[in-house]
Amino acid sequence: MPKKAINSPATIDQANTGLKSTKLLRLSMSLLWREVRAGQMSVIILALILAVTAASVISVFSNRLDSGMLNKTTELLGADVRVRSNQIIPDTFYQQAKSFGLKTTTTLEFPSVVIFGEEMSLAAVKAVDAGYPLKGTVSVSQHAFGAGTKVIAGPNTGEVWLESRLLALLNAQIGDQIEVGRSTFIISGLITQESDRGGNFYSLSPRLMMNLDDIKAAGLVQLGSRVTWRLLAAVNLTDVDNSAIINNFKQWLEPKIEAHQNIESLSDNNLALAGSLDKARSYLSLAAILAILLSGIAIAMAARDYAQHHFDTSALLRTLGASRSQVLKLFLIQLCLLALVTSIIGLILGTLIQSFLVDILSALFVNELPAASWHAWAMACATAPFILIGFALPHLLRLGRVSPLRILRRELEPMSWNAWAVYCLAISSVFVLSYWFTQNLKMSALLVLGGFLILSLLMLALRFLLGLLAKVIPQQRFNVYFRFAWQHMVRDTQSTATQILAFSIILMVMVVINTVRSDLLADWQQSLPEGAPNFFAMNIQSYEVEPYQQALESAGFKRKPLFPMIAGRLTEINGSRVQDNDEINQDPALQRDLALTWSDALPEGNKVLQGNWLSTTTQQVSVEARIASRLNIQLDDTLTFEVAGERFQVGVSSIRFVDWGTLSPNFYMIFSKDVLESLPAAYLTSFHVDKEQHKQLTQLIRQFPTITLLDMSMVFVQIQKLLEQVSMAVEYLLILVLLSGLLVLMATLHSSLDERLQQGAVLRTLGASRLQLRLSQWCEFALLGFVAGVIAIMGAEAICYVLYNKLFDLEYQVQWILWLVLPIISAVFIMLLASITTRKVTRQSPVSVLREV
Amino acid sequence: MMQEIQTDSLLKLKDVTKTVSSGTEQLTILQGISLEIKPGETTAIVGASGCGKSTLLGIMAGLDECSSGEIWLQGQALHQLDEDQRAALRAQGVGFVFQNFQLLLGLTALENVSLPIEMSGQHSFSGSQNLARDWLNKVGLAHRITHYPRQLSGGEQQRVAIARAFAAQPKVLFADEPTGNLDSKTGHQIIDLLFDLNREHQTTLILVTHDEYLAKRCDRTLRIEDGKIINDTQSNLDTTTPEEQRSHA
Repeated sequence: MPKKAINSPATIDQANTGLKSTKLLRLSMSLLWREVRAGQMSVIILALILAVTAASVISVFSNRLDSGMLNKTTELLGADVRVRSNQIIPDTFYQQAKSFGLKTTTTLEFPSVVIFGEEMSLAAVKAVDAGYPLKGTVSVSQHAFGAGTKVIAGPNTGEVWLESRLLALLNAQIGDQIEVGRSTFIISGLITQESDRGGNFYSLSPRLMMNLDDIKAAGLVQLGSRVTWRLLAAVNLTDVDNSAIINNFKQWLEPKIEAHQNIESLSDNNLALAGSLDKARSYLSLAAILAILLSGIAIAMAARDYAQHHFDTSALLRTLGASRSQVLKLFLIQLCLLALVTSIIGLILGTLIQSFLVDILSALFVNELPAASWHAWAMACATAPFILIGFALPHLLRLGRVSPLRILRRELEPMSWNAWAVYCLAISSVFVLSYWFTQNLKMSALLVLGGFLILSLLMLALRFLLGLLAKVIPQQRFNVYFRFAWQHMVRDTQSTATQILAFSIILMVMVVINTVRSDLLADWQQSLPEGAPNFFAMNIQSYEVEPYQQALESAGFKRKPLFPMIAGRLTEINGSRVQDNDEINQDPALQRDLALTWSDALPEGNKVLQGNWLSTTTQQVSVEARIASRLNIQLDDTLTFEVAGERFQVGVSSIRFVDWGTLSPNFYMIFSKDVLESLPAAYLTSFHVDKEQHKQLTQLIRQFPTITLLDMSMVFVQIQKLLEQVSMAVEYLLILVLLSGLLVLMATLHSSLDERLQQGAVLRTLGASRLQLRLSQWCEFALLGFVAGVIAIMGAEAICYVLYNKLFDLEYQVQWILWLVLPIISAVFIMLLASITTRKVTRQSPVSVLREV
Repeated sequence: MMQEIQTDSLLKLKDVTKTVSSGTEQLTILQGISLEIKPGETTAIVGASGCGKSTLLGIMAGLDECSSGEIWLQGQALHQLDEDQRAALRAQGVGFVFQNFQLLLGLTALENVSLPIEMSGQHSFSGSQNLARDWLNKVGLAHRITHYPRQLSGGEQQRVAIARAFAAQPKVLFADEPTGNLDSKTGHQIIDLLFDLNREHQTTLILVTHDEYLAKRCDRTLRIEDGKIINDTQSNLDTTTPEEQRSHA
């Protein structure tokens, strides 16, 4: 053989070998395309599309719903920002609002006597200017208790609108002339809806609405009159995210607010709604976090799978001369392409689904739901890359570490990342995403970090347990296929534990989201049950108590107990004057009379937190928990009250939780009977009036003209409608999260398919029948499912307990029935799902499997 | 610093040792291997399973590192190069044929062959496609260039692998049990093809095999036992034609 001179390269020119960027991109695309076409990427593609779809639906839909609910809230305020003052509101406020691009209007409220012929009544007058109503709905009817039509402006000058019950009190008709102050006005309409009414109902009389321009002529407001001015400001457009403008204006306002002014918000008005809205938001956030978590698990599974399937490719490319970074780039480019394409598909699907949801809800929303903010879309777009980095990157980076020697020795696997590093990265990415999604640090931390801690402990416990069981259980007593199933589980405790945990996380998420949903809905239902009182009667004198109760009963109204009500002030705590205490003397509860009452029984919706209820004691008071903490009142403190010039001291015998959401009369201070009995009291009660019972109501108003009646039915209808909408949204989100869970389950099962295929083929070659194989698999999955079910119910109970106490402020009941049912359902469900997912194991011929694997 | 030497050898091993630790134990897989392989030479490495022959092949090809000793491939000190430098060296002048073919399942026959040509950086995309097509012609697969590996028989897959190995115009070709997964008739056809192309292109061929017939066709046979070369024989069978050899066999 002729010898040939060695043509040795002067240097190893790395730049000229391997793959250049354009070639790399083309090769990536072609490899990806082939694999997609061959159906090898189905699971990872499905998982990514699902993740992005779920994330975009939840982020965009909940953002829209959130702003829809915010719109509802502003409807109830009648504005985005509302400033209240005892004096005329300075022009600078209006000018500033305008410079921020806000519309403004002014209302003025005060009580006044209204006269019609012989009849007279106290009315809550509201004078409005040309800009009213800014937001919300005001409807006016031409018939008493008739259906109203929505108006876009207040009454004309010289005209007034009344509430139907005021018309009844005055015994007047539409078109009659009534006297208010020095002027005469024509009744031109009856108010059927005034969405921004709200307010403190202890002081409310029936509404009379008039034009602000008529105030001066009527001489209604003089120096020292008890009036309330309000500046209402709202953004011009509803379809863009205006929260920044509103917040800017609020920030500008805050330092300028004086003692006689305040910025009102919905929660200040003590409406049950505020609490419900908060809970709904928390629920949406929870659904979002859980959806992210589920997607993350799916991606992690798929990425691990993907990496393992490509170790050989990576080794071959390295053998052919590609450098580490080139191989890594090749796969990263494929992943980026995948993320891009699946994001686009996911976003389109997400957009369609959320608009479908919005369509369904549009029947319930009076106004169209505002479009989602860019923020929500940005979040949806960022989901795929973020989840890929957090969950897929550690697995993919392994592809760059594959030794070319694997080409000769297949058992060589690249070093995996430290498990803790993998988990930490995943956790950080979920945490960042969930915080971004929810803006709720507490919930994010609680779920993500708490969840991780519990899972790590569970993982260790499971591995230990499996190891122990493997030693303890006498395997020779099983038949060969059951033994095979069992050995399969205990041989690699790490992978079995991972699989069990994956199943249990998914089940846990399903249980948590479903439990929270049911309890939230129940809680909302409970706060506004069918037939809840919608009228409040106040100012009932002691001699009227008996006849009024009888009148209510004969009218057929469902009534609640009567409470005596005495106006009094808290003046001293433990002998020191509250006005001298700088820490608390600005508290609104000390600025005004409190409604004091006595009662032998603990009222509905109240719960004693500390101390004992008043039943057997004298000279005692029970204090509501929030005011107690605000004023730093402790159990056994001595409080001094002043009622009509009379001072008395009482001891604090209990601290009491009050559910302000119930919309029944609630009190800060409830005394033992001996304390207040001798003082002159007016009584308060509430009752329910059906729509058809308005005739009886008119009669009642006539019969007891001095009793102040507050109609809350309009507010109730609004709240109920809103809760209906929210409940419905919650139901749909549940379905979405459950669907994600189901698909992730299938992805999890799919990820173990290769190994199962190979084992199945070998077993069948050795003579196992399909049935035997199937039985063996069923055993394994039923066992996996059962254990996963037990862990899931434990975890779900723990998570719910924490969530209920820390987030939703609900009482949590252990779901014993689920402890029994869930493991069984889980075993059957996972067994069935597995037999569908892995049916290839028994269907495909062993030869073709062994050739491929 | 990389060292270069001027030598007659294409591959030179000097006192190469490979040990791996298995738990607390140190396992010696190769010990004190020294050899030289000249350009154009065909060498078979034979030995029982687990004797270390595949490890030796891996080290010679730069797929693995030795624990001690020196390896010179095409004048480059392989033992001083890092993995990426070795990869660059492989891209420029080393080809492989494997027992299990190692084709990328997602790529067609044509794409599998054009991949290393592109990676060698010496041809454009269309250039590498054309070259790959020529090579598939040469191995008799002109009609199957758009087929995926799974649509090809074992012999056809190995032909694609051979086309891929030669297409990048390697100076040295490493083959690991190239007929191990094939029936004897197909195996012989593949060997004929391999040797024909080898002769035509003056490639240095180093192969690991169990197949005595295949070993006999090489210029030289290295017998390995317990990590050492126990026998290094030269044969002159390469002067006979394959047909003659088969009739001898």
